[in-house]
Amino acid sequence: MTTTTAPQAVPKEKTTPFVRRWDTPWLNRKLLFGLLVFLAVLSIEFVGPLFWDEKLAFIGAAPTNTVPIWVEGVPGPTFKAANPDHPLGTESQGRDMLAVLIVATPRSLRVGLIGAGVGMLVGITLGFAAGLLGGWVDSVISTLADVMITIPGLAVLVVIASYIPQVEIMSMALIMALFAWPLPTRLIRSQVLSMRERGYIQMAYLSGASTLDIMFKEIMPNLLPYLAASFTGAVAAVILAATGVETLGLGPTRIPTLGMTINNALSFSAIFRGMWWWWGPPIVMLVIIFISLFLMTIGLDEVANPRLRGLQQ
Amino acid sequence: MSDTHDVLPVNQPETREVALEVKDLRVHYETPQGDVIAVNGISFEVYQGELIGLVGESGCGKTTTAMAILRLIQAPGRIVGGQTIIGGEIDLLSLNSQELRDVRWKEVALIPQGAMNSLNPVMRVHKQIADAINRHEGKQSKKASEERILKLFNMVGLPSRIYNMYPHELSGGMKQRVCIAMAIALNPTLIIADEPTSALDVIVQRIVAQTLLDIKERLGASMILIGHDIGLMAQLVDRIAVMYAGSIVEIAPVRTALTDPLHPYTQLLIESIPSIKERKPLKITEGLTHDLRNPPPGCVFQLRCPQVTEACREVVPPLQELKPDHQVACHLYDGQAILQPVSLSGSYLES
Repeated sequence: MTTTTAPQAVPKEKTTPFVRRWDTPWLNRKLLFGLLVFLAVLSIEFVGPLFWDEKLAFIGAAPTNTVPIWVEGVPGPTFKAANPDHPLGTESQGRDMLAVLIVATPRSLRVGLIGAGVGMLVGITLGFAAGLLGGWVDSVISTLADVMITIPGLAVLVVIASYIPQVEIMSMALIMALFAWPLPTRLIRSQVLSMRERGYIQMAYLSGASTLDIMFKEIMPNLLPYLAASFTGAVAAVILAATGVETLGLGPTRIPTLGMTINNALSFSAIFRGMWWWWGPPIVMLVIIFISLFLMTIGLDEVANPRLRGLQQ
Repeated sequence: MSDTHDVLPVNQPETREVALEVKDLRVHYETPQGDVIAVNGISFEVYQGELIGLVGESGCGKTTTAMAILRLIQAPGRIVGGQTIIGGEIDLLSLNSQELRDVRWKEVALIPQGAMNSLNPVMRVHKQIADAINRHEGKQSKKASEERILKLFNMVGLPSRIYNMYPHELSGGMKQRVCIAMAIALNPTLIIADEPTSALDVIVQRIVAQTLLDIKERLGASMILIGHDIGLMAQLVDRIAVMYAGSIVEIAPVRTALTDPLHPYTQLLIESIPSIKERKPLKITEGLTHDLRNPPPGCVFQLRCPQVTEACREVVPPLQELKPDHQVACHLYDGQAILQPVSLSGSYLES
């Protein structure tokens, strides 16, 4: 038997070799790239105002119908020639498109993050409650979540949004959260159900851990990559739903968001008039956001499930 | 030796303190076809500082008994009746959940069946032991806790370098010993080891078994060892209890049980141990265990017993003390008991 003579100080440097730090599944290429792009989009909120005037995003702040600076000549009689003061051009209400992007992108992201955050928080609480407590609590929560999943969200959101006279960013986010919780609830419940049968949960329970201890100290750390993956998925879903509602003209009306910009472009027949610089930028921005979130979701999936990592390296 | 003890009343070799007393414990599993009677009113004592082995074939209720003592039976299982008294005063089965949480692990600890998944993969091993200590004794200072855990590691023969490691960095035997360290962290009165060596190779089995013995000697704790490896039991335990279909059929000092088993089931069980010295045909008992939902009247072993009699089919044989410390539940020995418990033996012989 290898018995050490006396308890000595723990040689810490020996237990975690330096090299191992870098050998973690969290350094996943898809995850890192997605995160980088997402942070870049997120930083628009802070970096944008430093070199561009946000006030140009309001109606009448700029001359109308200016083409972007790289377009030569004027496509039609109603348009003005390129103006170096407005590099992405302006639209028919006199908003500067670059300023619109700088103002709208963070707003749309905020709706996504808050909506998904609230949805996940509710989902985690209900999912854990259903999975750990079981019994009638589980039945009620599962049934509710199942029913909510089958209801077409957009239709209900349109009704709710049209009820509220002045929709703000926050209220928009909360309305979206209404439909963001059922999926995480189901997913987390199923994970908790499988997790709570593991030996170490039984051991923790046996050694006197309270239900909260078991939730946060034993189960939660095991689910982190999983929760992160469903969070990024939820952010994308909320932004998509919010953009849909806004495109229908039911979102916030004072401050521009990406969906509202598309709605404006539609109501001013921007597509017929060939004003691609009006509806184009918000769509490109949405695509960038979705791709970054999608990459993060796949990356986190690979972190959570080693089998997906397969032949990557 | 047992012959000198034919004086009736005091049949205990020395005055022993009872660490755990199980009285008429009953556990049922509910199924749509009726209750499965997994543990059918068993009673036994575990003395202070004693290692008792619980053996029997798969499905006979060994683990269910252990889980019932720890009150870990989960639905659809349920403890129907009985008492499990720790240290002569606390009846575990009548505690409310807060009291239970305080007592469990402090008085009764478990060394689980599969150490492989009994440690949380995302927590360092020292943290898991520290958590168990902190839950019962309040938050310890970092230094005190480290010292204490290293002492525990030392006791179970683990090197101190694993202090900061994660479970996946340890071998199976080391994980099992971490579980043992966790079980003895609070100096419990009773440790239940549920097949502690079942997933390990023989060399590591030996080390773990040695560790268990060591711990028992040093702490003076009592231990219930569950398993079907009678060879291992023979080397470890003081007394052995043989279970069949939810009942204890024989309890005896391990030496007596191996050399002079009384119950036909124990005899067959011992006979079935393969030997490397001689070639012998495996003796397989005819018949199957009865449906646990619907036990026949009389003895539990009647369907497979080679020496079954009329009485076995009608009357349940009580567990009676035949020799000092040697109890058996079988009609073959009716009338020979040195201490007759309240039994039905007289009545059916005449009828």
